[in-house]
Amino acid sequence: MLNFGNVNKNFPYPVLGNINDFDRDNLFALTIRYGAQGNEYEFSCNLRYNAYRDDYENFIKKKKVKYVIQAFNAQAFYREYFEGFEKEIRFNIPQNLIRGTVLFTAFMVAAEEIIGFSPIGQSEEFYGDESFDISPGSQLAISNTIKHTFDPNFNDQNESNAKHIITFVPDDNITTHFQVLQWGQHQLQVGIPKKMFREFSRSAEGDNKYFAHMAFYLPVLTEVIWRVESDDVDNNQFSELKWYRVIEQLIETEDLDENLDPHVKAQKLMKGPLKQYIKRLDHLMETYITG
Amino acid sequence: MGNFIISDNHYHRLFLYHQSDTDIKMYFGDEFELNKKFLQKANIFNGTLPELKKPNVTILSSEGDVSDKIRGLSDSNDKSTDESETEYDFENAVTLYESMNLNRVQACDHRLWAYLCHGPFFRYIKVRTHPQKSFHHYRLENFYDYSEEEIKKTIRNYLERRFFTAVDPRTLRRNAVAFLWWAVELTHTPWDRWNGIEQNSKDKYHYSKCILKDTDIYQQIFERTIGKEPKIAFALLDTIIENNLNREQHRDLIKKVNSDVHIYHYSTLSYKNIRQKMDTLLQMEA
Repeated sequence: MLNFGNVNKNFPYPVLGNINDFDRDNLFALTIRYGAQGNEYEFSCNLRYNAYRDDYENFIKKKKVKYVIQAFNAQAFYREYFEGFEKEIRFNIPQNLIRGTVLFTAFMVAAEEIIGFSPIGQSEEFYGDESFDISPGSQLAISNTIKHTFDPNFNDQNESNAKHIITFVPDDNITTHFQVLQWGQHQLQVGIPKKMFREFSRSAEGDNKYFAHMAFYLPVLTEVIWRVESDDVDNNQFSELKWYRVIEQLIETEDLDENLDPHVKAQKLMKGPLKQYIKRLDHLMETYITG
Repeated sequence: MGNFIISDNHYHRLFLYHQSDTDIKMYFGDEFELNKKFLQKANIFNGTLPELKKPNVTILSSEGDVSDKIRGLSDSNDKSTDESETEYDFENAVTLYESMNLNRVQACDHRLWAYLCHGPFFRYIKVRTHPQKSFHHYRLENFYDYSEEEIKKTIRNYLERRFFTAVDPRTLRRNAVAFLWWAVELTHTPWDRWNGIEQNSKDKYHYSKCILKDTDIYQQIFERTIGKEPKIAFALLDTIIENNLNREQHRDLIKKVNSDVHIYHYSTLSYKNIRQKMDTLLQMEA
């Protein structure tokens, strides 16, 4: 079976996972789970390729090739490799070393020189029946890249006290409407006219919060999703900000149908605020009518 | 004083000052009047706040035609080697680094640098850096005298780049205080902190000295992906130092290494093998 491929690069020899390098059985996939314990993040990575592919399997058995997981966090200047000869690789990273987007990619890398390398199913069009001499350190397979976001606090670097990505603040400069004050910040502050802020805060408490969810959060979240999914440069410049990364990750985790409109996706991420809103509205109407 | 960051709730307000024609004058004086409400306590310094030595540059002298003086200083295309500006960088970097109680996660927090640049090191930044574009230097305090919008924009950009940071390596380097801390953090005693790095000097700041002397090396290595891999970064620095490479030569070598790592995983090789590869690339260059 031919998979889509993980990267599209030019290598001088076939690389598993690279588009067009194989005519069949080119799967090389990474899955990853993580949790936090103490002062460390714990990761468990699993690698997968076609079951009967014994060419790479033999190289691994002979320790001529090793599995390598690369963890890369540009923001905190962190890039580290974790190696092994099993398809499951576990490792820990101290929480005070990574912040923001961390990219995980798996590789198969030559641990020693390999003469006459010619993997099963290599693209006939590109490589014919050629074989290749591989030097140590050469990449032989590249997986999909998985992105996780970490946002520790300044002092207590744990995940338990993360701030909301959208918050509402009183604003002197607007009098008639609410709006996001600055898109270029990690936390989106939505300005509410100062004179209305006290009433706004009351209406956002208790069961009345469903009104605020529909009237304030939903339109803002809709625009947030639109910006995250937009291709234009103006919006892409926000890609390292917390609100952007959190929403991007939520959309990915929820596995939402990409054809849905942003306002529908927003409702799904909010776990369907409409029902609670209607129920609360109905309750208030009934109270009002019956006294 | 010193153990604070800007609180999340007020960061935006502080950020807007330099964009406003009225509030930008807050940057004109020797001190920035930082509203105490903006501050959030944080454990940053080990003890007392360090003093950073200011370079002897007359750029912000209160008398004379400053732009003319600076034009006189900057005939060279190479700003980063202007020794008058950088003369205390290494000394300041070590002083600052040793006085701070930070980890990397904290050190890429924009709120920390925004506080230090508007608080204790406000004056240092104004002396160490200045607004400039295309070899023309402008005086911050003369903002209202400049009629051209382009010059005003240059001054606003200067304030944004030098007094604030984003979360990427480039903005952390442009910030005169963050740059000092990160330069030392990335380069001191690598042989004690990472496996596979050979100890080539007894001086724990051997590499820090090198990159603070020539910031182009810092930029070329540590702003690239290869700079995040200690094994590659320090092998590169050793190659540059041992072969006494000039700017053109080190840029060429770094480009070649950068291209080579797309095929070879240098970090899975030994230091000796990495150096061999780099020496081969260097030979190719000649």
